[in-house]
Formats: sequence, C-alpha cells, structure tokens
Amino acid sequence: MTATVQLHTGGPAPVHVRDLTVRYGTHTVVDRVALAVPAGGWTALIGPNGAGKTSLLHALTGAVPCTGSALVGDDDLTALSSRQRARRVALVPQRPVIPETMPVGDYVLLGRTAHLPYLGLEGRADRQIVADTLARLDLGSLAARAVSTLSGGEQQRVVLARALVQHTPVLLLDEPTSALDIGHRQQVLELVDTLRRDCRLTVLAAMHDLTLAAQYADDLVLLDHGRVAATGAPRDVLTSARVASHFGADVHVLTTPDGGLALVPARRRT
Amino acid sequence: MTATAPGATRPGRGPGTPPGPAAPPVTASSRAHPLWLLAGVAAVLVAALAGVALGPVDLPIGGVTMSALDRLPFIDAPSGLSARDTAIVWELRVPRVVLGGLVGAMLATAGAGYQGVFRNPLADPYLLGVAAGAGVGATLVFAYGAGGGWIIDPLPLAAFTGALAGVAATYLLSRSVGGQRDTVSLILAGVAVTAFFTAVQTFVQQREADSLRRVYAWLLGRLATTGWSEVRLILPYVAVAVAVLLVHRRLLDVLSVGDREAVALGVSASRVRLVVVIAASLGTAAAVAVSGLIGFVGIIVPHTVRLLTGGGYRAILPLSLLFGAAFLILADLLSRTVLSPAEVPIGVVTAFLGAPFFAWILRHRRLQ
Repeated sequence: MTATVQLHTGGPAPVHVRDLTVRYGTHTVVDRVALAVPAGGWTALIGPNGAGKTSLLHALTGAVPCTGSALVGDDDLTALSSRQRARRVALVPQRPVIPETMPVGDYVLLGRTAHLPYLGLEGRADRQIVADTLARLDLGSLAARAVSTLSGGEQQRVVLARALVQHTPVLLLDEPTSALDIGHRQQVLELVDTLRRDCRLTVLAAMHDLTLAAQYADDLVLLDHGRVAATGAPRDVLTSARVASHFGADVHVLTTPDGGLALVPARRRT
Repeated sequence: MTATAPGATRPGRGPGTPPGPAAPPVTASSRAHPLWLLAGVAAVLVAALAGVALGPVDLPIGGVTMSALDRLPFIDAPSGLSARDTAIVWELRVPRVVLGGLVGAMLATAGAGYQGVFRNPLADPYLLGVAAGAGVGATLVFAYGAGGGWIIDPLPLAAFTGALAGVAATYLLSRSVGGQRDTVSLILAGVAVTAFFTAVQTFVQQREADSLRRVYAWLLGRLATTGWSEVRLILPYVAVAVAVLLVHRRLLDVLSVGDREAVALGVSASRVRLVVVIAASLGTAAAVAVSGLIGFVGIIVPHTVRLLTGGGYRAILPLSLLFGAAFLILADLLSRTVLSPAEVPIGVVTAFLGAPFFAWILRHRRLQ
C-alpha cells in the first residue's frame, strides 16, 4: 500500500533566472542575479541575513517589482500576470500570515485561487484536490481546526499544502524550517524531498541552516549583498574560508560518517 | 481514491498513528451555513413585519402580512385593513422599513469590506472621510440652503457629494504621499481629511448657530421618509455596491493572508482593494445622504457575525447584509416608538443597544 495520490504540476520545468535586479528606492537588494535550477532539482539559496534571498523569491512571485528575466520552462515570469505566475511558482513564506480562526481546509483552499474564475467560487474538484493533499500530508484529521491553533510543525505542513494545491511545477521555500525544532526540520525537509521526487517538482529554497542545505540541495547559490558570490555543489561552495568571509562565522567543515558535509561552529578560546 | 500509506515510511507522522481513512473526506467549505442564512432571512422578515405593524397606530400583524401577500402577483389575499391603514402601511411604514433595511445592509457590508481590505478590525464605513465630507455638505445646506426654491431636496445631494469629495480627497492625498500599495498611508490620509472637513463643518456650524440643532440631529442619524423617494434615490447605488462587495467575498479571504502572499496566490491585492473601497464608499455615501451618520452598524454587525459563525468573509458578507438590515429596521422601530411621538436619533439607539450586545458576545466568545 503506497501513497497513490497524484499531485498534478504540469510536468517538471527548469528555472532560469538572468540579470534579476530588485531595487527598493535607490537601494539595490538583488543585483543582476543569474541562477539555474534543473527540472526536478533542488537548489538552495544561502547567504547572511539581508543578502537578498527573500527579495529574490518575492520577485519571482511578483510581490516586489524587478527587472531581468526569470524563466520557468519557456515562460518568463516577469511578463506574466500574477494569476499566471501563481500557476507556475508557489511560495512557502518564511513567516506566513495566519488569519485568526481560519480553518485548515479553507486556508489550503486559498491555494486554488489561481485556478478559479476571478470572482468565482471553488468547485467540488478543487475541494477534492485540497482533501487529497491534506491526506497526503497527514493533515486530514486537522481540516476543521483553526490553523492558528496548530503546532509549528503542523502549521508548516499546512502552508506547504497550500503551496502544493497551486499545482505548480516550481516550489519556492523561504527558510521553511526556521521556526522548527531539529526533528521537525528533518521531517519537513524529508517531506519536501519526497514530494519533489513523487511530483517531479523543481525546488528553490532559501535556507539558513548550511548543514541542512548541504544535505538536501543538489546545488547551492551563495548570495551576499544581493550578488551571487559562489555557486555549485555544496562541497565546493561551503569552505570555511567562504563561510568566514560572507557570514562572519568561524566554522569547522567536517565530513560525516556517511560521507556528507557538516558545518560546526568553532569557538576559539584565546 | 486511496490515500493511505504506511506510517513508518511517511515523514511527519508520529509512531503509532493509525492509518488514515481510505477515501479522504471532502472538507467543508466556509460558505455561509444554510442555517445561518435562513436565520438571517427570518430576522429580516420578523424585523420588517414588526417595523410595519408597530408605531403610533398599531396594526394587526395578520392584516399587514395579508396586505403584503396581496401585492404579490397571482395572490388575492383580503387584508381586512381599512383604506387609511393600508395607506399608513404602504406610504409611511413600508418605505421607512425598506429604507432602514437598505441603509443597514449597506453600512454592514461596507464595514465588512473595509475591514477585509485594510485587514483592520476597527475599519468602519466612515474611515476614509465619507462621514466628514457628508457632514460638511449637510451643514452647508442647513446653514445656507434653507431659503427654499429647490426643485429637489438639496440635503441628500449635498451629503452625497460631500461624502464622495471626502473619499476622493483621501485617495488623492494618499496617492501623492505613499502610493496605492500602502494601506497605512490611505488610513492616515483619511484621518487628515476627516480632521480638515470636520474643522470646516464646525466653523460653519458655529457661525450659523441657528442651524446647530438640526445639524446635530442629522449627525446622529435619522431615517425620515417622504414616501418612496428616498428608497428610489439610493436603491441603484446600494444595489450595485452590495453586489460588487458580495462577488469579492472570496477574494477578501485571499487578502487576509496579506498583500505579498495574496500576490503569490495570484491576486493583485491593490486592485481588489481599490474596487472594494470604491464600491463601499459609493454605497456608504448614498446611505449617508438619506440617513445621516448612523454609527456602529458597520463595525458591530460584521464582528458579531464573525464571532457567532467563526467564518471567513465569504460567510461574513452575506450574513452582514441580512443581519445589518434586520438590526437597523429594529433600531429604527425603537427610535420612533420609545419616546413617541418624538424620535430618538437612530444613532443613539444603535450604540445604546449595539454596544452592550456586542460586549456580551465578545465576552461570551472569548471565554470559550
């Protein structure tokens, strides 16, 4: 017996970002960024606070204006309406706004917005998609609960469910584990990875835990001051010298018994 | 449709959790529950019947009902009312009840709309300068327009024009300082415009002290009717505004997650906000033109509905429409019967009854 619920994403699509620039007034927060995520791949955006990771993701959803291009498959997001964008990229925000008293089922249903007529209401098929997705994420029994009453890990899965019912080929995650303990971090990231394989999703995730980024992403893009400072496989990007210069952190880069990469803070006593 | 999976291989599932049901249930939607809608319709009918039957001359409820049925096509229902009573019903009471229902429905749905687009529970229909603008218009008529020679009653026209001028000034001011994305600048512009228009109104009122009492009575709200003319005057505006607000009810729920997430879900928050604000302001201006400033309805009705049903805007908007109409019809009934033949300003009744009721609901719900 396996999970056979299929989440339709319109097929896998690669992401190609070129020359993407975001300005707030005269302040440039994302500066001519170029990056590529292969179809079905997982690329992590890393970088210190204020590096422009969140602004980059918001530029892709259309929440902040930008210049440059961002292709999903053959479609340039910057030329699309917000409704058309929302059928190509779905965002799991870092700190989602949870409306007070809104039940889980209704909250997840918001993800169907881009598939509904502008002023129309959802149909039975949309409610079925929501029910299937909730079941897939083990949230079926919580459908009637208010989202605000759930635990942090449950809330994160609810927000993920809202993004999944958008049925987009690309999933954007903004520090999806920042509010969670170590166990729930692993659970959420494993869940994303399973969904990525099952649904052939392309994942672009801003991640601030560098060890988890190295474990889950195929490629890392290091942003600093809005620019790409390094890109490549985790072992190539995450050197202790780079972490020191861009994060101002003193770390040991270790190899775990299973051949993985781990960054451990170093405390040098003088 | 099978969606079960072995718990051991599934992340996010604790050990020992029983497997889920074979067929996932379709979740209930947050549309207004049919029973609540039924209760709302019943409340409007009861309030309307009471509003028509009760007054200086009490009429039999049965006769009033039959008289109403008699007006429907294909129904012949002898009401047993005298010609004078029938005239009282159809030329005095029914227009006033209908007007109360329209104004109450408009203020309550407009309040819910404002609260939704500004994500601010304190937003009311008078937030963006509607009230202050209408106040200036009405005061000018009371102070300088009493000379007569008017073809039509200048008061509603002046109040309506003033209300629209107030909203337009607020919108233009906020555009010039903050851009349309910024809801805070819109609300602050409303504060500035309200302060300025209120100053103008107070100045005129003080210079023309004779008008003071009538201005004051108008500011507290009143539903005086002369036959059906007021109903005819505001019906087109209220119908269009309420329809526009109602079709946006699902989008108001989308806006409840904030502008940025709404855009990521495919909705332009600023466009929805603009359309809803225009519709709510236009309808409120029309209501204010014939009723003065009836406070409290736009805030307590949507919040009471929200506290009672726990639903999103897709439930709150239609239910606010019904319960807003019923509430104002009853408030008007009290305003003209408590001190009969004198009338208590309806704004006094809505606050005097509404505030304790709202406090009771609030306390009751918070304690649960």
